[in-house]
Amino acid sequence: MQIFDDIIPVQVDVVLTSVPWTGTTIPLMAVGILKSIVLQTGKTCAGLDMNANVHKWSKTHPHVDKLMDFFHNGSYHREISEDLHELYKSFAEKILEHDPKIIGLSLFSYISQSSTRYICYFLKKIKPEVVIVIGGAGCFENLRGGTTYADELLSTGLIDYYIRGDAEKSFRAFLDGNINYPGINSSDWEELPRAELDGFPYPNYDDYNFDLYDLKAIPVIGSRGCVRRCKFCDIIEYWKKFSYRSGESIFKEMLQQNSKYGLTKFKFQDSLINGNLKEYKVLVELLANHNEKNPDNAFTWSSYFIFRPEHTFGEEWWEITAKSGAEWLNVGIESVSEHVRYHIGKHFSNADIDFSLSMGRKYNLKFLWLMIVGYVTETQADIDFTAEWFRRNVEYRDIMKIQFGGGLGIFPNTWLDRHKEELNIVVHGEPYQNWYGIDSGSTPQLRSKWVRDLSKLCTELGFDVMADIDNHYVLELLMNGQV
Amino acid sequence: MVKFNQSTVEMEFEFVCVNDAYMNLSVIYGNDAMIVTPATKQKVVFDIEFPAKIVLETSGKDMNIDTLLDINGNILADKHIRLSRVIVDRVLVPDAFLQKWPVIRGINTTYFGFNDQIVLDFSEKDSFFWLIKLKSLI
Repeated sequence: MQIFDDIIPVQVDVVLTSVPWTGTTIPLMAVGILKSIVLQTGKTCAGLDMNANVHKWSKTHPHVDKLMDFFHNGSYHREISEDLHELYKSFAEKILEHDPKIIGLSLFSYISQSSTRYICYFLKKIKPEVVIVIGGAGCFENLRGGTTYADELLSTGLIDYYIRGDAEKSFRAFLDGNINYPGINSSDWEELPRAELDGFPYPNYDDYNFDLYDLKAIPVIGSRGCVRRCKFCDIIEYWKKFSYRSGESIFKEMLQQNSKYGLTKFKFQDSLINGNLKEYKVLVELLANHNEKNPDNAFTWSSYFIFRPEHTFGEEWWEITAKSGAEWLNVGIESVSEHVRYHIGKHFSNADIDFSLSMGRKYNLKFLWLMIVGYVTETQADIDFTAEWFRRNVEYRDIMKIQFGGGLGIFPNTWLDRHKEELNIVVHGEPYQNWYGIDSGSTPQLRSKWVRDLSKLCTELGFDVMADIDNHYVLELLMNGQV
Repeated sequence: MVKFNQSTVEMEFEFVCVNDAYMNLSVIYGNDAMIVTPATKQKVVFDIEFPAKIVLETSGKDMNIDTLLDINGNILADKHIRLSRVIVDRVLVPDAFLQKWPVIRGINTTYFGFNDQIVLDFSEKDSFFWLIKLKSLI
């Protein structure tokens, strides 16, 4: 199979790779972070983002829907079984061509579980003695909940170890032979303290093929956790505390990565860049200064971002944000109905949205709006209000992209999941969009219809509405009542 | 050179004794036969070549005395063997499939309470194709 032909194997001690399926247009960074940890120990390492190869291959596959069904649910389709056999065999063979002693597989989400099972199957079939360690949010029901999947793989010998939670320290301990370190084959793990976040080596993307990505950008992480406590969010359950790096440390990393890889685009992968305004200010001022002095090597960046009230994030903040090279700000608006947003836990008003959009217009910033359609308190009236809101604000269509997603998912261990009885909703599990509001009459089919109605309207109004394979797949399931 | 159609099958059985005796179990694959030593839990490992059939042969149960009943005819104890877990090439066979897999006298069950022959069918060209198909058979 030629999917992995761009990977030139060299003998190393450790191979790390991402595992399909993650639908992403930019590099996944976990492998880059961990490769730098491996190199610190004196071991040699190949850090591969093989999900990117599979992602590219999948997009043009004649049975892409069936592939998605397999990646998401492990569902069998005769038409793709030969391709999957070849895919996973080639995946394993390419890793083993590096002759590693240790293989680390990074699972971005649960959608990597089917692939991981069969990649390990081929790895152990071809080279039973190789040590396999898996990690990432996708190994577990959630990062603080059950470990059924990882425990199963461990008990049958498909893997040798799993690592839970932040792996910067635990993976180092693992490489040093300290397999009793918290997070290794155990549920307990330690969040990285704020003081240590600046001390790790910068991620190493030497083995990434940047040509595979739609967006050639260097991923960066500036924080862990979030300053908000949104009721649908599971991130805050993983990282209880918001920890952040200093603006100076982030800037230094950007300078080094720029000099190493020649890229000037950066994509922040944490939940928000402006959680700590003091450090945010340091960062954007350093970037603005760099851009002013280096117009031929000016940096641009995109990031998740939170809208704040005007009195804490006034015009001077927007101006310096623009000068720092901000391009796309991905904002979890979730709903334009204030009462829905306030119930979620997002306490910015529609006036704050209006102000932020006007600043975006003035300073040439673009927004990716992340919307949740069908929140537990949302009704048809809210959907009608949302439709009207977009009609009224059509003037911003050139600076906005909208992602309506696959409707509200109620994920394990979130506030919504813990309060489902008092909310009188019934959750049926994966896909997590499969829930019913007993009082509200909210059903997967209704929410799917709302997503489609709003997507259609906004597209007709001239907004750029994002459609990705994952959400399309989920919506098809919901619409067809297959959940 | 790895032969992908060669596989390792691990089967775990649970034996329940009555009248101080267990049922007998032989696992037969081709010309090989293994007599399984009864135990509360017993693991059997076989190397097979896909496609394949494994035959489980159970014996040693006296149908007149090895099912203990109370005066109302309720079963108090029954000599039997249960197939509790199967792993093929380190991949766990889903329990939902396992429950439907062995067929005994027309019934899908992992509870072997007769002197019988049970055929486990591994019908694909290698274990990967067999394993990925299981979910569709649940």
